Amino acid sequence: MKRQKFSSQQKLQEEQHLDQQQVQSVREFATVEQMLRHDALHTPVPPGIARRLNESIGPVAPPPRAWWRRLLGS
Amino acid sequence: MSEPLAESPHAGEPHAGLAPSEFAELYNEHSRAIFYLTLRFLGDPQKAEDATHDVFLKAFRKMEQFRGESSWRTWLYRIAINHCRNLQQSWNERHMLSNADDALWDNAAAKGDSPLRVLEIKELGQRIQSALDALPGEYRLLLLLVADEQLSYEQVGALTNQTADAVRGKLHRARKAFAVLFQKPEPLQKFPLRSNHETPKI
Repeated sequence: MKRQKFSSQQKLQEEQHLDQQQVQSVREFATVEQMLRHDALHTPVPPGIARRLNESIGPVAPPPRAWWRRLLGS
Repeated sequence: MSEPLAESPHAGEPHAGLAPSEFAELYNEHSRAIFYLTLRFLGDPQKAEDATHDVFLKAFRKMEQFRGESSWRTWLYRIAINHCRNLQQSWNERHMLSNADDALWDNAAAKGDSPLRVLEIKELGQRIQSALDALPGEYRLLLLLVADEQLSYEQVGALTNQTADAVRGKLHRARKAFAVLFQKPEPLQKFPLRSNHETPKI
């Protein structure tokens, strides 16, 4: 009986703890824009974009020397 | 909304190899805004990543054409909007609602005036995406642009080819429509009742 009481108390405590967790994490946004701003701030830009851009933009290779320039060594 | 890359969660990779030039500064200042617009407009992270890359590449190649008549931000947004629209036209993936559905939103929007409550869950982005996806494309774009505090209604109007007054009018309906879609009970059933993740609370 005692054991049963203990387990039900424990269960109640766990539930209260979970409820508390849930209440603590409630967030309210007054407007859609506010919510979108929050979302945008927490949406990181993938670093791969900058890397790819760097590759796409990267230094343009110099044009190959003309055959006659290579031949004359100039 | 924008912030330097150095302050972003990926600060460990400053510029990620980009040369310290005017363009790198431009990227650092506006990439977050452009990526977010493409992400929520297209609804696909990989496509958004590709689109953001393409937008900045186009901007780089057309930088000399920029005459300073608008802000860099507005100019980049214009490139991004055109790019996303072209992609959407060619993909033809999404079911787009027409403006004829305005009345539907007006009538259904009674509960759209209440604040939007959510729990801090990872699914917030998914919920936002679902609501945006169900909106008419014009509303979706208006909400995303107006959410950027750097843009005025006039600038949003210029980007969407309408007057600032028209933006205000449509925005009112767009907000209500979004709230109705966001607060739809169906997606709630997909999430566990008790969770450390984010779950919208109606």
